[in-house]
Amino acid sequence: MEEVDVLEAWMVQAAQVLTVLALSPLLAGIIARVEARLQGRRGPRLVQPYLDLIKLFSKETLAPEGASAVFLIGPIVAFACYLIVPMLIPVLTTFPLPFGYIGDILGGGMLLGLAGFMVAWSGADTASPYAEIGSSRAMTFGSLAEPILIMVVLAVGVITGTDLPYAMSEAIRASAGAILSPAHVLAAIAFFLLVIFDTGRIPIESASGTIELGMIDEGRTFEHSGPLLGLVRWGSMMKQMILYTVLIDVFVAPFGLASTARAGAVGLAVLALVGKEALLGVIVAIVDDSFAKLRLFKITEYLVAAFLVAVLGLLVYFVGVA
Amino acid sequence: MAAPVPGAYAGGITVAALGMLVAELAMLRAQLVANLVRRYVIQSLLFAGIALAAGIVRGPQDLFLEAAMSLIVKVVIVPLVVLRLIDPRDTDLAHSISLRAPAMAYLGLVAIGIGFLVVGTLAIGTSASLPSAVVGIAFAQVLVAFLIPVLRSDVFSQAFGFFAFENAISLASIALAPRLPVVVDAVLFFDLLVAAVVFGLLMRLHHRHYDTASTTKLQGLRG
Repeated sequence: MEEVDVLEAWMVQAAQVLTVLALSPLLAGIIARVEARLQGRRGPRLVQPYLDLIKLFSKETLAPEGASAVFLIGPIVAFACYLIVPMLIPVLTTFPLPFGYIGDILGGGMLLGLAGFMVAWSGADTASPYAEIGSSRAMTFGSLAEPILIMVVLAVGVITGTDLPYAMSEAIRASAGAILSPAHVLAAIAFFLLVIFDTGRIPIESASGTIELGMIDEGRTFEHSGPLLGLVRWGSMMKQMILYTVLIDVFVAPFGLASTARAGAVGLAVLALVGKEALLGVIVAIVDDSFAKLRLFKITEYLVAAFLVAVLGLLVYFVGVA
Repeated sequence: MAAPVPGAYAGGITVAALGMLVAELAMLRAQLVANLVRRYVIQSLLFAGIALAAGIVRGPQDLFLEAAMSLIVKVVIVPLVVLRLIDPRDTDLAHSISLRAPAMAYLGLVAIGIGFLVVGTLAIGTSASLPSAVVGIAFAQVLVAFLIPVLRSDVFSQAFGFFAFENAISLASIALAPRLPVVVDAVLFFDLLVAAVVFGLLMRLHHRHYDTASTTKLQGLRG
């Protein structure tokens, strides 16, 4: 007899994308709230990011004089990239979904890189000095962050024997002790440092910083407005949630995921995901409030440290110390 | 094929030993005296934690004493002596670092690689107190500790390079010979205490005399 509450695979796949799409502003709201509380402020409402997006999408789009189609297309392509990545990673389920094997974790990284490049390109297309400097900085530092991602993926790949996110998650889940494997711990630490960098949190950048000397991500979107700015902002929030999901569900705690396609199990997995990501968000907010922002030229040292930790993880594995 | 997974004790101890190594690498780039001291304290805390865990899980119980002495001497006395003798706000170590961060990272990695490979090649037998991996990590720490005074030309780095070296030797001694008589451990610690005072006085005198922490001024003493 067919069970009525079992979802079709495509429905679960869509649920993964919709979860990231719908809950990423909530995650941003939680972090902003916790951060404010830690600073002794009351802070914005949890739904403030949703209200900001509604406001931006209700405004008109303005393009600077001389901007080409890239200015308009960039945020849309970036947003599409952020919609594809949740199909490749275990957001809600332990079992792979139809598109789960169309790309490995590096493929997901490349999609995130493409999204970042498109936003930077559309910013640079405006010829605004602020947007150009932000784009230039984002690309420069982004290129330094790539080797870290490669090393982290390589380290976890050799530990788990695969570079497919679902299979990596399965390997870690099958042997919880693997989480304590020294190479894995170092890779996870390096990836956490990378997440801090990629989401533009302190010590790299203040979340909504507009100080020109340190501004990176915010600079790229200086000329965007209305729905395009809304897409960029929403995309940034999705990217944050995607990176948190990879850190949690692939590297650190791939637990609480649905092992069947039952609606109840998938619903519980959504709640578990929100709980895990909120916890990680609290940790990030604590880090955010505990450190000073690095000077721009010190960011390379931060990235070097992350790279060193990742390479150390790999070295530890290959010489058999793990 | 997936890698074999170490047990919780072996994994935890190895991660803590690697933490000591990372703290030492961070000491290579510390640009303030306070940061240098803080990273040394973290390294010493991790060492005390390893000694304590090894004492609880595998013994011998002498390791409790080693953990306690580490906490008292390395985490409390050494930082206090150094920070009391010198006002860390007056000293900027940024100019004493001879290489940029990437070059230092590569040199550190080379030292670590040599440390791991050499110990792996020698196949040194270890005691049951710590996992065998710790010997390689401790040897890598010894080599990185050498880099600190070599690559940095200030008296603080000379001193803390020596202290970090001592931490590495202590870790290796637990891994290789945890049943060293307590009196030998005590001698090692007394040695460190004397070194802390001597280095502290040297730092203070040097700083007062030249108004800088840089050892490049010491070239003036050559005959």
